[in-house]
Amino acid sequence: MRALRSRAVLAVSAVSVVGALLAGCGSSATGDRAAAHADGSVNKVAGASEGPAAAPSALADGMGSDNATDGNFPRTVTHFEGSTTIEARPERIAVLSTGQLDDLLSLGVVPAAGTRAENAGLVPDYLADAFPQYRRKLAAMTDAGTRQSPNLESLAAARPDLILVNDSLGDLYPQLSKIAPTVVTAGQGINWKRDLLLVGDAVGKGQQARELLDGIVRGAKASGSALNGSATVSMVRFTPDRTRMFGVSSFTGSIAVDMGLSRPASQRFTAISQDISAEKVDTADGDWIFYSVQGDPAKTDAGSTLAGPLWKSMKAVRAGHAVQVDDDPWYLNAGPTAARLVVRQLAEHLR
Amino acid sequence: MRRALVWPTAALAVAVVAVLSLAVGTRAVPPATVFDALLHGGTSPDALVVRSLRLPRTGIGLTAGAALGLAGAALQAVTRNPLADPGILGLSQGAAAGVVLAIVLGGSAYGFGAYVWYAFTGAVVAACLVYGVAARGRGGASPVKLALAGTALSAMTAGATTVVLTSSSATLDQFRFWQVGALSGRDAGTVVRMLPFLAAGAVLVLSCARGLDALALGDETARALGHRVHVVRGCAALGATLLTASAVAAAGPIAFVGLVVPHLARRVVRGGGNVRILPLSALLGAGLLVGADVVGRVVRAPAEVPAGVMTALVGVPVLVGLVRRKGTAT
Repeated sequence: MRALRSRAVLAVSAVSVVGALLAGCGSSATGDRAAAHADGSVNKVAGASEGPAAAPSALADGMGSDNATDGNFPRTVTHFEGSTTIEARPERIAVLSTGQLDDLLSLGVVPAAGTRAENAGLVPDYLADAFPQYRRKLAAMTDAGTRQSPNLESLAAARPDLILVNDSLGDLYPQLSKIAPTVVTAGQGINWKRDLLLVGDAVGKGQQARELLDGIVRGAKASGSALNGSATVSMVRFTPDRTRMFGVSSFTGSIAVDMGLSRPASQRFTAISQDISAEKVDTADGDWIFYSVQGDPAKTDAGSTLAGPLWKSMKAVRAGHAVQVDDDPWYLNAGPTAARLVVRQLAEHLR
Repeated sequence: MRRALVWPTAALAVAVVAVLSLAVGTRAVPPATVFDALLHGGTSPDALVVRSLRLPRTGIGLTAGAALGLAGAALQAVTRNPLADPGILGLSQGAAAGVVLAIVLGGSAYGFGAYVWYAFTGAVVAACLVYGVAARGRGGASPVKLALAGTALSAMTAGATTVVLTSSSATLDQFRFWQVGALSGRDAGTVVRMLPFLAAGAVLVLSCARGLDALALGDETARALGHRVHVVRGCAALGATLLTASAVAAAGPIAFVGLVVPHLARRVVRGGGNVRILPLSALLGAGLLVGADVVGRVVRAPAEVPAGVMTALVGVPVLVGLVRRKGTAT
């Protein structure tokens, strides 16, 4: 009898554990879109519950160098982990965060060492295409591992005289400073403008960076105003284990802001991105969808979603307005070349 | 629980979980719409979600869960080790290594059909190695030696797999998607292609049920009772390998189902023998995996947590409950 009862209790408790989990979760499933933004599937800008509504276009307070004239050294640069004195014009720069490679190349400097994003080459294709004149120098760059965990040994072996890194690797600052003077930028796509300015300042090209940036922003505004501003632009990225739609406080989202484009209601949130499931991929509908796929879509989740009836039933897809774009400049690396490319492709399609 | 009630209750539980799997998700679809979509089809977004996403993933969850539950029960009986499961004996990692090899060598091929034979070969090689190592020395393949050899081989295989993955980023892409153990995003034909493997594995394992009962009394006794010990072991192990490989190829390495489900089954049909434990493990495995998948869809809505992650979270409370009761219930 006792055995019978204990087994019944066991079965009941096992079922109730599952039941309680289900019940506890059921309430969140019915939450509306606003509530969904408050949960863990939203990727926020670091250190801010609300991301900025546009990419900050000036250096962060107190940051930058004490020397406003391009080419003058020594200069002391205040950055996100302290301040660093750079004695002479750096000749061998190491970039540990991939967006900074774009910054340097756009300023006419080829670094001596770099890192790779996961699943990407040392020099992303869009940068190799944009700077054919540097092909040989880029090929000679030292591979310092991945941007998540750079290989400090090969970095030191490249004998850099300046290291650029963003704050996602801020913990490494003390070690990096022992290898070479190190300047830490903010990182994250929404900060691409202030990072460009800070990188420019560090290499003695602050004024040039400012002019470059102003030109890009002017160009974005001009091409945006020539377009139909009421068409909503949806931004979606498929990676092998996640699907995300991008909000206002992302690199690509901020470019839509600069161009004055409309976004679907589901993507007007001030955070970087929000994960969406295959069942809700139609929340990302709009007049246009600019989506990227990391890796080969035929081999990942994206393949079955893109071939599925739900995706095909979406307004933009039915109208032939779903455009696959290059993952790297659109949703992975941020910088001036990527910004120009995104502006150009948006303008081409929305015309 | 009364014997007569065990099967209807278990079947009902699985049916309820399967219905939940069709009705619950990150997208809120009213139950009436779910039934309508299942019976009449339709092209509304809700109907498309139910038919093209939830139906196949429920099917894959049921088949893969049944395969893992059955494989776990068979392995625990074969090795006389209550801790045995496809993971601990190295089969899952062996199958995973096979899949990585398939991805590296297979080029464009993707999905169950391209993976299953590689997974099977990987699992068989792993099983032979584990048994070969464990059987050496005094005492033969004792439960402890099998578990040790399996754990060691698992760690080694996982290391080798990681080496391949980190040096080939294209492989990593594809593998990352598969290895989280998700039921979603697998194409609908996967269930159909999995069924023959499930059937073959089940026939192999179930045909040795009596022999496995005898094995529990020790090899000598089993022999005295007229069972050919090596045939029983080999046959059940081959069946379990086939089942594990097909589940791994379809849904990725899903942990914990094979470990926890046989314990639950043994509690429910105490003294019932493998003729009852094995099929009940299949049934409960299907229920646990689909249940874990349903929970995974709602905890982080509108995003999803893969079933492979949820099985451990849902399975652990069940296992803890079993362990805690084991001492008191006599």
